[in-house]
Amino acid sequence: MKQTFTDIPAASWRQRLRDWRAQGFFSLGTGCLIVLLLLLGNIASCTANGPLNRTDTAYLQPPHWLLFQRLLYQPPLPNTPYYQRILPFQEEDVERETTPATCAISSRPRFTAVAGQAYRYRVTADCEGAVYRLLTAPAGMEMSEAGFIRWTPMQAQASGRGHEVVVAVLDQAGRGTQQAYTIITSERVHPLGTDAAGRDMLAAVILGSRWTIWPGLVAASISLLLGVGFGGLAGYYERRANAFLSYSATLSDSLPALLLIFLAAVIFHYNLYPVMVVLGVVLFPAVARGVKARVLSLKARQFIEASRELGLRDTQILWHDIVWHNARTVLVTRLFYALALAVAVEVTLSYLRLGIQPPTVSWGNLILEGRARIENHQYWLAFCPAFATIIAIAGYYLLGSGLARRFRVHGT
Amino acid sequence: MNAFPPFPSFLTLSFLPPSATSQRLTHPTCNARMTKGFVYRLGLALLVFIGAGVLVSVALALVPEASSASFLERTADNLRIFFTFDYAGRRTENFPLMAVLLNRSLISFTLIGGALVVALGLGIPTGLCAALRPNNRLVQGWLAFLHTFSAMPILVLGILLILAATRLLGLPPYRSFLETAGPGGVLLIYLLPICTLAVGDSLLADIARTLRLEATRILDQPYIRAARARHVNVRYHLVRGLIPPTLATLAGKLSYLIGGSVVVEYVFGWQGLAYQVLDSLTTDGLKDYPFILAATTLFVGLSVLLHLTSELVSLASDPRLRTPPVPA
Repeated sequence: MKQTFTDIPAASWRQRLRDWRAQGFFSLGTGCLIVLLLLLGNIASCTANGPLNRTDTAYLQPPHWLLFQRLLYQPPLPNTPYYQRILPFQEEDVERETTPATCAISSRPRFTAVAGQAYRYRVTADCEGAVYRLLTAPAGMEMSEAGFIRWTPMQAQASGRGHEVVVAVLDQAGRGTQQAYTIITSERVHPLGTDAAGRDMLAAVILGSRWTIWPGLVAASISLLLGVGFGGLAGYYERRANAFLSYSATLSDSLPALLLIFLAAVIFHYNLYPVMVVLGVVLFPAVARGVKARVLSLKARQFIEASRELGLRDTQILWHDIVWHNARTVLVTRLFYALALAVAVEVTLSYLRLGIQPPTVSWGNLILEGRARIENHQYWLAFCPAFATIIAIAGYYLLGSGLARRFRVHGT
Repeated sequence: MNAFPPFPSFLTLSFLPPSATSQRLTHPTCNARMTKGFVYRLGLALLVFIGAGVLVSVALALVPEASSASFLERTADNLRIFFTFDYAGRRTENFPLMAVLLNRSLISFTLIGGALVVALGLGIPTGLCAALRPNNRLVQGWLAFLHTFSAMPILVLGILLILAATRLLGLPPYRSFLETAGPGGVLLIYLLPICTLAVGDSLLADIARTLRLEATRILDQPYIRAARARHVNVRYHLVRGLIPPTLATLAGKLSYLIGGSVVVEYVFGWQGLAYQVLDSLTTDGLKDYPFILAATTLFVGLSVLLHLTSELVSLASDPRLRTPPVPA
C-alpha cells in the first residue's frame, strides 16, 4: 500500500525533544540566554556604576537569602553546655553539671537582618518540654515561650557592627545548652551578601561582567583574522605560508603561552586590551591549523574543480567558496573558544594581580579577596565570582557548539 | 648505496619484539629517510629554541625599567645571557642560581609529574574503554563529566576544590599545612593541586579523546580485522599505534601544564619555579631577568625535547612516514 503523508504518525514529544537536541536548539538557547545576561551586565555596569558600587555600613555580610546562607556560610555552631543556674544552688547541681545535657539545639539561626524588616528565627530543641531563654539580645528583640525570636531592627541599629545573641534551652531538670551567634544588621537586602568593603556581592558580580565580552572579542577577532588568513593561504597554496605556519605552530606549542601573556601584562602596565591582542596572536596558529586542514580536504573536491573550470578567480574560490561557505563551523567553534578562553585569562590575570587593578571590580579580584577568607567559613566571597566565571564560560561553549551544530545540520 | 650513517637503533623502538615493521628498518632507503627526517626535525627544534630565546629576550627588554640602558643594549644583554647560559649577573639573591632553580623546579615538577601520572593513569583506560565499548552508559557519563570539568579554568577549579575540602573535610589544602596535617591530610594536600593540574586545561580529556579516536581508527583498519578473524592478538598493534599520538598530545600539552602550574602554585600556596618566575617578573625594582631567562631555557628545552622525541618515535614506529612514496 502506498504511504501518504497523512499516514506518517506525528512524532512523539520525546522524539521531538531528541531532534531539537540534535539540532542544537537547547545549547543555542542556553548559550544565548547566558550571553544576553552578560550583555545586560555590561550595560548595567556602564550606566549604573555609582549605585552598583554603593557601600553598606555593615561590612562583610553573609548572603541574606536563607538558601545561599545555608550553602555558603557555615560558621561552627557548637551546642555548648549551659551551666548557668536558673534555680537556687542545690547539692545535686554538682552531679547535674557533670552529666551531659539532654537538650541540643537543632536549628541554625539567620545571621542577617535588614533595618525596618521583621527578623524571625525559631529555636528548636530535640527534647520534651524545653524552656527557651534569651540571655543576650539587642534592644527590641523578644522571644516567645515556643522559641520564636522576633525583632525589627531600627535604622540606628544598622551600624555595621554585629549584634550578639545568646539563646539558652533548658530541659525539665534545668540542664541545657546555649547557642551564641552574631546578627549583622544592614541597611539594604543583599541576596548574596557583601564583600569586605560592604559592597553588594551581586552588584560586584554584575560589575565584573564588563570584562567578559569586549576583551574576548579583541582576542577572538585577531586570532580569527590571522588564523583564517594564514590557514587559508597555507592550505590553498601550500608554499611559504605553510613553512611559516608550521614553524609558528611549533613555537607557540613549545613556549608557555601564559608566560608570554604575563610578559605582555607587565610590558603594557596591566592594561587588559593589549594583553588580549597578544592572546589573539598566541591563539592564531591553532585556528590556522584547523582552517588549513579544512581547506586541504575541500580543495580536492569536485565543486571546487567546477568553480575553477567556470573561470572563478583563486581568491574567490578560496575565501568565498571554501572558507566562508564551508569552513564556517571551524570559525564559529574557534570564535567562541577564544571568547571563553579570554574570560579565563582575564580572571587568572586579575587573580595574580596582573590584570584589572583593585579599586576596579573584576571576578579575578573578587576571587583573590575571597580566597583569604575561605578559612573563616565565608565561602560566598570566593564562590559567587567563581560560579559566575563558570557560567560565562559555559555560555560561550554552549553557544559555540549550538551554532556549529546548526551549521552542520544545514550541510554548509 | 646509503649515503647517510645508519640510524641509531635505540630510537627505533627496538625494545619491542621484531615485526615486519622493524625488519624494514634494515633497508638502506629507510635508514636514509629516517636520518633525513631526524636531521630536519633536529634543525626545526633548534630553530624553535632560537626563536623562543629571541622572542623572550626582546620581550624582557621591553619591560619598563628605571635603568639607563637602551632597548638595544638590554636586548643584546638578554640574548647573550640566553645563548651563553651565563646567568652570573643575578641581582636579587645571594644564592647560586642553579641551586634556586633546582630547588624550585623540584617543587614544580613534582606537581607537573604527578599531573602527568594522574592524567595518563586515568586517560588511557578512559580512552581505551571509550573505543572498545562506545555505547556503554558508564563510559559516556564519565567522558561527559571529564569534558565538563576540563572546560573550567584551572583557577576556578582549584578554588572550588579548596572550598569543597575546607567545607566538607575541614582542611584547607595549602602547602603550609603540610607539617601539621595527618597522613590523609598530606595525601589531600598533594592530590588536590595535582588533580587540578591534570583535569584543568583539558589535559586528561585530551589524552582520553586522542586515545579514543586513534584506537577506533586502528581497530577499523582492514589488517586488524583480518588479524582478528585469524584469532591473532591485536594488542601489540594497538599499543604500537597508540604510543606516537599519546606522546604528541603530551608534547603539545606540556607548555599548557607549565602555564597552569603558575596558577596552581599561587592558588594552593606552593612556591615553585613558576611562582618564582612570576615573582621575579613583577617585583618592582627587583626584577630578576637572568632567572626568568634560565627558567625559559628550561621550559622551552624540555618542551622541544619532548616534541622531538614524539616525532622521532612516530617516525620510528610508522614505516609509511619514512619509506619513499610509491609512484602511482
